[in-house]
Amino acid sequence: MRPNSREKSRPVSNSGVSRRSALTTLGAAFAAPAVIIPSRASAAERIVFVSFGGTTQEAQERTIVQPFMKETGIEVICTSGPDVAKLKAQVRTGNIEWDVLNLPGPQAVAAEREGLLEKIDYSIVDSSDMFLEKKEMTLPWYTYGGGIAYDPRRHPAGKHPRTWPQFWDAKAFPGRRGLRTRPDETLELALLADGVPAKQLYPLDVERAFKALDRIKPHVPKWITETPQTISLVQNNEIDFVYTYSGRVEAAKRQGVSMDYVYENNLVTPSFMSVAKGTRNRTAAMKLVNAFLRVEGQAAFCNTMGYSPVKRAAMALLTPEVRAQQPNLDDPNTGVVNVEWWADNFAEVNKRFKEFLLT
Amino acid sequence: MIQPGPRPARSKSPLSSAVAIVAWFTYGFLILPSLIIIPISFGDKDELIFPPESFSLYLYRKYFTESNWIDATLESLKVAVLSTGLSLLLGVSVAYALSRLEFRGKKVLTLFVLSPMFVPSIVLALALYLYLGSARLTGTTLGMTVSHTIVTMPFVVVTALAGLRHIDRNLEIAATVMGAGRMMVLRTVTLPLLRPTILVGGLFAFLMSFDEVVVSYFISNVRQQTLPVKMYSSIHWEISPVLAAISSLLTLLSLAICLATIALRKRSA
Amino acid sequence: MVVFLVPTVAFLCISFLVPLVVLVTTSFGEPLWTLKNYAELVSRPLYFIVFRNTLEISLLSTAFTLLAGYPVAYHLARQSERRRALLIILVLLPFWTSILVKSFAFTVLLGQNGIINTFLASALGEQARVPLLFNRVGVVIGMAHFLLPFMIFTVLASLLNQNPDLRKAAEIMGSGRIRIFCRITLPLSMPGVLAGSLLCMILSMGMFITPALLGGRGDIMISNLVDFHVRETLDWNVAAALAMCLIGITAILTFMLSRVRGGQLFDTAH
Repeated sequence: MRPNSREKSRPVSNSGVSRRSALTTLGAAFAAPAVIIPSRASAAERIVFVSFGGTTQEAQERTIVQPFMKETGIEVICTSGPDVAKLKAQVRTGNIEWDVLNLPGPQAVAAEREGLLEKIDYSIVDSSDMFLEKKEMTLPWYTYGGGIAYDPRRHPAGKHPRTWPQFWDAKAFPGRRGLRTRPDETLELALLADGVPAKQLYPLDVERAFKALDRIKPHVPKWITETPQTISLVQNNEIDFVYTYSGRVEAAKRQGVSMDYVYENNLVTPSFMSVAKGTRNRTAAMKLVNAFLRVEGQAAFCNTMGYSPVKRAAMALLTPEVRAQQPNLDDPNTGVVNVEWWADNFAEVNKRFKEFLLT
Repeated sequence: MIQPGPRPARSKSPLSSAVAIVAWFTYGFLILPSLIIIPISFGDKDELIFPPESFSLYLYRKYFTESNWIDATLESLKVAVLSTGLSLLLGVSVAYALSRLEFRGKKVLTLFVLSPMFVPSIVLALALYLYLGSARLTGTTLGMTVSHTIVTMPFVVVTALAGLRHIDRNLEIAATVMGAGRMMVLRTVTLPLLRPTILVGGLFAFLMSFDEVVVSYFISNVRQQTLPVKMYSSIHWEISPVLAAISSLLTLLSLAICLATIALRKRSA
Repeated sequence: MVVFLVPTVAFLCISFLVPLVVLVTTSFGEPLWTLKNYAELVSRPLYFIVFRNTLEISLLSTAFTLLAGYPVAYHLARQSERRRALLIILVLLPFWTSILVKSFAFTVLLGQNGIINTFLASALGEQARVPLLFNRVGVVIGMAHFLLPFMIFTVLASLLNQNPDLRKAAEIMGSGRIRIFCRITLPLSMPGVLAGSLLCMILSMGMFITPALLGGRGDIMISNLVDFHVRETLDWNVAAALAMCLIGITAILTFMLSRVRGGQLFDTAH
């Protein structure tokens, strides 16, 4: 918890909110009879927002969704566990349960291609001044960096890899490595390790990546499926160097876990906001998407979680501590995951990756 | 502490001692993870940490006060009780009919009754979600109970079929010869003999429903989340240490219920 | 008698048959009617290796569960009712602990630097450390921990159902305990053993979170691939075809188990 970081962002958002919430209070007083009889109108002003659960979602709700509800009077019901298969089934049966979804990159693009998403209404959503390109149906709203993490008690400065070529060098940096069971991100790491410049990763040279992966294979005792294990295996001295996310490591550090993260040679992945096709309340849903892109909300959320905002203006509102944790997108050694490439190639490459793991 | 304890002297054969050793080894194996999880549950951090640096009731407080953990627990209990009842009713009766009737195609029918357990849960979940979704039954207690019953009933059938094989048919025949009607035989002979089996089948149904996550995730909606669905909902990023508190609480609760039952039975005896 | 059959069959027809039919037609690429989804399954080594792994892992886990579980059931059957109730609490413990925290506990216990290996290393030297995690051993341990109650209770029910007079009679006739066990107790408990093994086989075929958390890189299960096609590639046709193969294999296994002598799971003949 960093109370002062939240306080800093508060004055900015409050000035706007308090005036409007005063208006809504007044409005509510006049509308009192309508409140007593649950009206259709109020039922329509209810949308469901689905996100990843846990601390990320708690931060989203506190810094963005709750202020949004106060300001607009739109009721947002929050739930967790977004899943494109469930969305596809909802769209197919017309039984729409989710309105606004926070999806990981490749899944958002997959949903877009399957026709499961509404077009983003850019007359409501303000997409100006963004680091990343907007898309027709889905919108990046924050990014998170992935890199090398280790236990500083076991591997003090100089004893752990700082870049991906070093991570691949088991002679210079002896130790057990942890990588993921997903090909996305992992193939990028292999290419970075093999000397491909971070800005020229795409289209991925799949052959070259698998050759590089063959070299690291003997030094990886555990290929990790679920992110929590990237932390717990280093914590319990089962892995020495692991690929994981800065926000996750910083959260563990705050809880007293002995871990450190290298903010060099990072891989940045965007997280996307989308609206389900056939949503019950398109306008309200778009308004909520817009709320996630507002500078104050972005800053407040990123200050809590240590992620990076997509709005340039939000950068200025980050605390010095969180700003130090930002992967520098202009750094030639920072790669950005291309979700479009993955949406095209995910199925095929993933099968090959699974065969790589099996043999 | 509990020890292999007083048993009839004649059972001190090499076989019994060997059995006891393996049995206690297995008991130990079953308890071992709990011995780690219970200390973790008294930690005061938002990460799983063993051993905890300091002890507190922080995680238990979180369970009782935060983000609908209690609602999810109650929802799980409700669905588990309802689907256990339905599974027992349907499962035991179909097992009874299958074991006492001879007809063509019985094997095929048996396989059909058992078939839900052959279907991978993610596929069953998706198929049921599409089906119940068209009927607008997702996110309802009915939809949830029906889905869980499909998952748990085959397990009741398997245990009941095994149990019915043990029952001495001669007892049933004797009762029939003495003039008892079929329902009478069922009520006074078969069902009482089947009691241990029904208990075990019911226990399996309850616990499987209580643990079920994939089907529940699909069928549940915003307002109706079961405990496992909530537990898994943030797995992509973190494992909430509140889960350690929940596991420990459930362990202690089951312990308390068992001890209370034993005490009550002793008093009434 | 038919009264007992109708409600269940009706229930399954209403709630399960339709999804099942949808599954079958989806696997044939309805409305295009093609075999290409099945062709996909033989097109590359991936599916074959994973099917083989799945069978190996389920068989190993079931065998281990039976070996560790049968003695417990036997032990429980010979206790007084009160002691049995107390011991059953121990058997039930795994149900209350989610695999998500259990996997953390297993890491602390079984890891290279876990409690067991640290103990072994300090007692017998560094070379005594054994890899118990992130390989097949880890998967079997994790699965057996969940499966044991299913085996124990099914076998226990069939042990408790045995007529104690049979054993007494054999004893009076002068049979030794081992002989009694081999000739009476074990054969009579076969329905329980078979039912328990069937439950464990089927349950373990469906597990994929345990192997993902405790297994090595090769421990990918068929359910894992089904999940992959359902949720990640959204290719539901191939997912359905995979599911059909899994259903076929489990149905055959069940049928084979049902024919094992002495245990006839579905037969009425006495």
